[in-house]
Amino acid sequence: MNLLAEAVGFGLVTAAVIALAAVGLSLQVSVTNFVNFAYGDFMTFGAYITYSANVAGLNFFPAVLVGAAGTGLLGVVSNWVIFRPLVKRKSRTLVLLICTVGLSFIVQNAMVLIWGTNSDRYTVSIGNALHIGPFLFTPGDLILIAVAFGLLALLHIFLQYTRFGTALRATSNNSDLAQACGIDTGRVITWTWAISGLFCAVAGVGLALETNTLRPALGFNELFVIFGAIILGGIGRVYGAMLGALIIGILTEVSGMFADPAYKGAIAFAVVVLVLLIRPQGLLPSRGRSA
Amino acid sequence: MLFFVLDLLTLGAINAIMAVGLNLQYGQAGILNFTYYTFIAIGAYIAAVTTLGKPTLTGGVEQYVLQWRLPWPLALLLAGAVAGVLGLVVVLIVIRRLRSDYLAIVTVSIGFIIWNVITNYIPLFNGSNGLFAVPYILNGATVTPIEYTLEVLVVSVVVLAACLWVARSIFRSPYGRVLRAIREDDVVAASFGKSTTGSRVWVFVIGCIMAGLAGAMLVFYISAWNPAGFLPQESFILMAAIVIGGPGNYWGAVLGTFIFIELLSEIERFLPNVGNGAAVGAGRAILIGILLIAVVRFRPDGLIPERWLRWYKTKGPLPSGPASGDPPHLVTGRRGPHRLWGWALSRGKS
Amino acid sequence: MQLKSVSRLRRTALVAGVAIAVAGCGAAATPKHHAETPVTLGFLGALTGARASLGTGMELGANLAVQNINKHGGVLGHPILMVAQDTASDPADAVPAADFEINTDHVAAIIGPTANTTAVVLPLADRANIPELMFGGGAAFDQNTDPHFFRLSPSDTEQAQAMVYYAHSKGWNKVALAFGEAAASQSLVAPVEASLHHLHMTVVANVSFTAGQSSYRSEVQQLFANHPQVVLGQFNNTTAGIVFGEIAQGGFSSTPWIGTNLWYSSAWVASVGAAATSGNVFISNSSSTGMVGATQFIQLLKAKTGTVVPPNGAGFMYDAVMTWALGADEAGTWAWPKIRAGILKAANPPGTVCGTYQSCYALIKQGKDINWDGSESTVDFNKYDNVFGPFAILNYNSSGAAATVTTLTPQVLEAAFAG
Repeated sequence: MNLLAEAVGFGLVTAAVIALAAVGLSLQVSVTNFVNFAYGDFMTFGAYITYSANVAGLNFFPAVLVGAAGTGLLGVVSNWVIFRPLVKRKSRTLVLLICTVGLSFIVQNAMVLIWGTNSDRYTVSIGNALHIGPFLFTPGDLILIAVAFGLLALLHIFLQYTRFGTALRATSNNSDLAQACGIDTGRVITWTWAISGLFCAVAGVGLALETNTLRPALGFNELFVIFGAIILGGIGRVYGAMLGALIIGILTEVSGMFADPAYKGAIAFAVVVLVLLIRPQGLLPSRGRSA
Repeated sequence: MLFFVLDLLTLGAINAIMAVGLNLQYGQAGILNFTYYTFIAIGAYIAAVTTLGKPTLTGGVEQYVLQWRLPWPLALLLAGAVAGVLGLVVVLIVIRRLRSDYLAIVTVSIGFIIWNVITNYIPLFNGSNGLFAVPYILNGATVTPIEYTLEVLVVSVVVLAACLWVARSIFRSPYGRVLRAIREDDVVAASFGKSTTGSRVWVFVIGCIMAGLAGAMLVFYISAWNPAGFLPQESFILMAAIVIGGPGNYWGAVLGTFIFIELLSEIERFLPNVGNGAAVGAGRAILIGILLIAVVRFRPDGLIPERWLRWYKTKGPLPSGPASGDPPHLVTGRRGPHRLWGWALSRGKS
Repeated sequence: MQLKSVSRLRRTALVAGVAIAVAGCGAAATPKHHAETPVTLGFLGALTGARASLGTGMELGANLAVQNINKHGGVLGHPILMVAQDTASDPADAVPAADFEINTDHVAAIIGPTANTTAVVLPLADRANIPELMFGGGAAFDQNTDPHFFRLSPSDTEQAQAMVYYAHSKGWNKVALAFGEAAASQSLVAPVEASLHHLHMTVVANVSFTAGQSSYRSEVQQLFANHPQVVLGQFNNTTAGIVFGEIAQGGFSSTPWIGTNLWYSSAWVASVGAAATSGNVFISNSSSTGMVGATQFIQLLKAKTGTVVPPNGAGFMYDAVMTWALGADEAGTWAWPKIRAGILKAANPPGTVCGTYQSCYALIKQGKDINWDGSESTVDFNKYDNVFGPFAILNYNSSGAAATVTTLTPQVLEAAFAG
């Protein structure tokens, strides 16, 4: 029972990282309406920029800000150079998706050339575990969970109570209608890429901290878990993505208690597939378009 | 050098079988199967376990489920069949009401589950160690490597020709037109009373059968298989090569895989040592990524576009009646006038 | 995604002053003993992909040997040209790579690869009638009868016995097992379990560590749930980095680990961090640092890379090239089958023990019998062409350097596990 509680606790930590990443991705998908296979590599990119800024002498938390800004910029530039012209041409979703695969090739392998294939590590560590109730958390875990909660709450406020948030939700619901109402959808999309990149970078740093390693394939390996979370939660639903992350995070760790942990990744994916068989629209249905 | 060229051609022919099958799925039916290599792997495993006998090496490292020692042509057909059945199961799971891009993601997840089970469950296909010493086909055990390469090349070309014939027949049949209609816009196609799901299921299965055949030929040639041979990136690269080559037509796809999978990596054998093996691979991946985006952006139908498109560009607008030629493939990303669909689908009904 | 370079190789024209114009001369079958015609060796290893760190280490070791041999007069007066091809740890890639070396470069011997790819390369070496000097533990080759096969590293069986014996000798009888899913790790589990059973030790946990996960916390908890006195394990460096981080967080750092020679490398220390390895991680390494051939190897390594801890596989592949070269010197040719007799004569007793190329070559020229001792082992082949040798139990200190704690001789292990 004790082990089970601990596994749930670890699941929470995993979920915090996945939730940050999944919310960023879900936000982008809800506005641009295509999934981004380079997203995992954006996470790694943010983690590496943070690493380099840290190594160059910046303190860790300012370095994370640099990483987040860098990744936001990468998203914005990718959108300008690659995706905006294609969207203007009304390219099919699949074509855009294939472009994101190409972008993933480029970003990930550029990181191989810049930072090499060997593992690096942050100089800060997440500390040693403390027993908190039945759970086992390190101080770093707690900070990470707090940061995740804080950022997600900020996003909620931003989406619900600011003018720009309203514009973003309108664009996400129906881009044509939003434009007809005088919303500058181009600007909304640019800012969405930036915000998405920010969440992505923080998630990447969290992942690198939790796994104690930093390597070019770090984020890509995590990408399909993140996809699983946003599919589970309902496509393009930001709050659904949080729910999906929580389920996947806890499921992955707890399933390791009951089956050979070698299969824990497979079990998480199998549950995603099963849920889709029963509810193709995800746990929370997506609004509007379902095609 | 002769051997090198033969080796290149043989692997090229096997890759071309993969390209034809994947292109049926993507180019014809618009299904993005990001785990195509899993079906190749299943074909390879089935061909291996049905032709292998008892383990040749002592020490209990090898475990086999079958030890049937089947003749290779039978194993080849079985490989195709099993890959097809698995394809049917997978496509039935994913195709129901899933948006095309989420369908692509779910194929990756399913591929991961299969990879994970094969790697960890040793009694199935011997886990990470994989299967080796798969018997050579024909008289391969007695001839020189060059002669054996030539033999595999001939068999592969025969299999490739059969696959091309099937793909061509599908392309030209009314069925093929329905598929392309669905690919461009399944809502419109459905509004003409076409069953979008049924058609795509079968073309997906045929594509998987071809993957199984290619996997079997690959394992007959290289004589071993293990989980390192079907990591997800293999599927991504294959897909990229097809998009660059031209997904609407199988020649573009075949050429794309030959250039970007075989030729590019084989040329690396002749590169001087740059001191870092990873850098060469990374450079190639970046090149493929840039080409992929550039092709999609500036030449959306690939380096070799679908036949109709070339015809359309030289001969002007569409013929008014169903006189000749293949139905139109609308330039990727541009919605064509819907009367074309009426034309294509009315042909489809005849 | 990182390309692992499907067939992927590159050619290493590594010898100073040697042109690549050697292909096509059929060097393996008919050595032409004109002075300065280079002889080509084919290196095979995973240079890209998941196991890239292993392959690059192996290539480095082989290169050190080639450079050293060429500096001291070459093989029978011929400089060595080594071509390198990438197996990506994948049989599907290893076959074209080996075929290319054999049929296009006409290599005189294959140096490498590792166990799971050797299974496909060996039949090709058989057909070409050239020796293959490999690195890897796979128990499949324990009773090898293929004359072309030579293994420079100890079998997993022997590795397992050494790990278990050391745990037993320390009185750590409650054992947890932590092995990865990779081929090399999977094939260690059975011999480890057999050895534990033989010494009546208890397995309190057996947890597999599948590579590519972002967290192993549940695994770590399960591993230590029943309070093992020691953990035996092997998994890749990335996994090790994550796992040892989580062990520290979980407060399990005080339980000792016994790892394999895969963990005796600078890359492993870099992944895990010197602090985490300090004190409680013991490496059952197949060599003792006092090997006769180690002195020159470490000198060359230090001159080239500045470090004295070799990367994975470097020492074994250094020994492989040296063994082949001295075998050819001894036989007076690198043609089959004389090369086989030459290798066995140069490597095995009786003879004068020597550990550097110049000293061994000089002894051969004087007509004396030699017994070449390598950097990782004494390079004495048993009747199955396997090297068996002493095991050193090493312990990392907090700066990442390893010191020998004790040495286990083959005789000790044989006695402990007899019957």
